[in-house]
Amino acid sequence: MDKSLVVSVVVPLRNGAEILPAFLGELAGVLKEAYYFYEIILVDDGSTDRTPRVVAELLRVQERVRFLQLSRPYGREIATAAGLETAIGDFVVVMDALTDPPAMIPDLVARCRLGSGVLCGISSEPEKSGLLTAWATRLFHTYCRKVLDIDYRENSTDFRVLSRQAVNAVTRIRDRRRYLRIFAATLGYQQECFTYQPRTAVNQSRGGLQERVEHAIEIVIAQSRHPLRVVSRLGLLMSVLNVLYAGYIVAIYFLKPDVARGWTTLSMQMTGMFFFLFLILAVLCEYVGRILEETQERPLYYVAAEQTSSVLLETSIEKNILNEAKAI
Amino acid sequence: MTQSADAVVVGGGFFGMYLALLLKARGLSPVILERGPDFMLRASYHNQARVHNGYHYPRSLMTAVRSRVNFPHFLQDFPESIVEDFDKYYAVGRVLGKVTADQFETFMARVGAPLQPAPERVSRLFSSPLIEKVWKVREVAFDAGKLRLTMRKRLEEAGVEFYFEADARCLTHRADGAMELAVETNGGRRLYGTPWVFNCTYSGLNRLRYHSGLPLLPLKHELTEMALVQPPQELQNLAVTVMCGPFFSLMPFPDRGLWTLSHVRYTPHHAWKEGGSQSGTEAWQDAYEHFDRAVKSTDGPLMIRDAARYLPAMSKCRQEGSLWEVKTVLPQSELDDGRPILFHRDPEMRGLVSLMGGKLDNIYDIPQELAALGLGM
Ligand SMILES: Cc1cc2nc3c(=O)[nH]c(=O)nc-3n(C[C@H](O)[C@H](O)[C@H](O)COP(=O)(O)OP(=O)(O)OC[C@H]3O[C@@H](n4cnc5c(N)ncnc54)[C@H](O)[C@@H]3O)c2cc1C
Repeated sequence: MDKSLVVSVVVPLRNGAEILPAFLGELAGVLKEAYYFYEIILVDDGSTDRTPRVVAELLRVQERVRFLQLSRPYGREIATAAGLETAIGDFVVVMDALTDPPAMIPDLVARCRLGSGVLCGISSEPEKSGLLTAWATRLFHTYCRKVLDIDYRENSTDFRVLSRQAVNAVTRIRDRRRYLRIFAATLGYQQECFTYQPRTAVNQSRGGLQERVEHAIEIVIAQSRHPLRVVSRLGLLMSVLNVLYAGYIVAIYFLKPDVARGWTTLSMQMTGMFFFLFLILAVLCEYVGRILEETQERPLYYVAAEQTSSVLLETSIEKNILNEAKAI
Repeated sequence: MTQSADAVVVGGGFFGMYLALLLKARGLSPVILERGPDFMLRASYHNQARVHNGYHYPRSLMTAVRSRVNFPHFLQDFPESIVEDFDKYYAVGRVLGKVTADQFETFMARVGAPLQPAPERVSRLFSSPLIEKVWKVREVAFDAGKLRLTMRKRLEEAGVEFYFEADARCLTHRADGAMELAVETNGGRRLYGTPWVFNCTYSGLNRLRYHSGLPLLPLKHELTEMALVQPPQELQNLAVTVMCGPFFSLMPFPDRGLWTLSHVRYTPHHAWKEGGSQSGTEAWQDAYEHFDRAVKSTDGPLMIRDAARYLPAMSKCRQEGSLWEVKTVLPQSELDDGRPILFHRDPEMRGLVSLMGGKLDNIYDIPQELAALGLGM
């Protein structure tokens, strides 16, 4: 383990006055043991209990703690983003004060350092939920994986480690709706997972079926144009079908002797209208999709690594030694 | 035996030296007492070496304007100490900042400080999600070593008397209305009888007052660290200050041939206050002693880490040491008066004047204050 790594721990909070003192003590103990330099960033997402006062007390006794107070409750994702944006560490750990065990941090950081840029936690306790909810959740995760190409695992929690590079990439995303679990998975950095047992069986407030459906819709809309694409294809298909139907009407008019009066014109008018309606919708969908992409202002790509030539190695070593000698 | 002097200046920092020259020019024969082995070894040496030109105070019009006014004077008075062989850039951060790019531009236009958008080659060095805008500005550094030599030469030419390793301890009233200053030297003890004592001891201001049984002035002290670094090739000859919040500043430190990296979050290691209460019997601690005893473990790596987020090339900068010093500032209430220096005439001991400035160019506010004492030209 490399003690000279700088590690930041981001803890988004809401109403944590009860658990904070013990948690912070434990966390600081682990970090102090493992690293020369670390920082703990507590992000208060609009607590209504004594949290600010408790933290103010703790700041006087615990070293290297920073406390960010958001101006109003923004939600856990934005709170985490605020923490990430100000974290200075080579590695940044995001964790939940209630469920995630600090003792795992040094190993996780070491693992993240060896492997990929992102290491994310999977709860070993499958959530307890109704049959329908469980089924719908599974379906959604499959959809994410198969169709949207997002590696969004089931039972994943917010406990994760990000390399500096991954943090830099995530902080470039300025969406109003943020889903770190997803972003981290879509950045293109290799994502690894680890399974652990949360301390309390708190499902990260993902709520009941209705809440989850809303959540799922938001994720899909924020992450992908897929639904829009599906709809625009459908629109195109419908307009083609309408054209065919128009052919059918004309055929009937000529071939069948006993067509009711007015049926042909009425039908022609209807199919004509629907043809244009669906065509227009399809075109609009495509444009809306483009606008969405533009307004999100996401960087086009992320550079995962950059290498430069390393000529003149000898001279720089020599220079190093010279400078060492006159170091003060 | 007691020596007599027209005026005693306690403290041989930049302020004490400058004041002694002014007094001499006004016909007095001041004596400078410095407890260290040479002039300017404390705050006047251990600082960011910035000659302020207004940019640093985008939230305080008064200070910015005064800096703008003093800037050309300082350049003219100390040309041999001025270092200009670098380009200075100011940048405004997007997150956690207290000013925006627009506010910064408006403010600088108001105080008449020139701003130029940074060339592409430089602005490209900054991380765009975190930095809103970068400007090239006109700001210079001073070489503290050269400034010390210049000032010493001027004192010698003017014939000002000075003593090193002379620690002013305690001041008492004398029957004839003058004061008596007890001084500890390495040879023993000395007494000065004098009508004027100018206390220019910066973080030691209350030390003399405390030993003399006088109420303490409200001061705030900070144990500060600036990392001494060697910036990477691409940042050579380039100085950077990111405004205005928990950000950093990279400035040349010419006397060591290195650069100082200071950080609003990591430079102050801890702070303590003294004075300000009614009773005047607040707990007092010797700032210099505290400084000597304090554990000084560097936070340089943290400063470099954070700076590298804004200016990625900083990750390649090499720390070669640190400059540690006690920084003393006036509590906010004093600053809000818009008075850039503390010039405090003791209500009891009328001949005792405490003088402290938050930056070197504040010396130009001294003449006016001297005039108010009846020591004008
Ligand atoms: C980290 C830091 C960064 C700064 N950056 C800048 C900057 O970029 N630009 C700028 O203009 N200013 C800056 N400043 C402020 C500047 O350094 C001070 O305003 C200035 O040095 C004060 O000068 P002085 O002579 O009052 O203090 P000092 O230089 O500290 O002089 C006081 C002297 O008094 C002596 N003394 C103390 N007690 C006694 C005693 N009892 N008897 C005899 N002698 C005594 C001390 O030994 C010392 O030499 C910075 C300060 C700090 C700490």
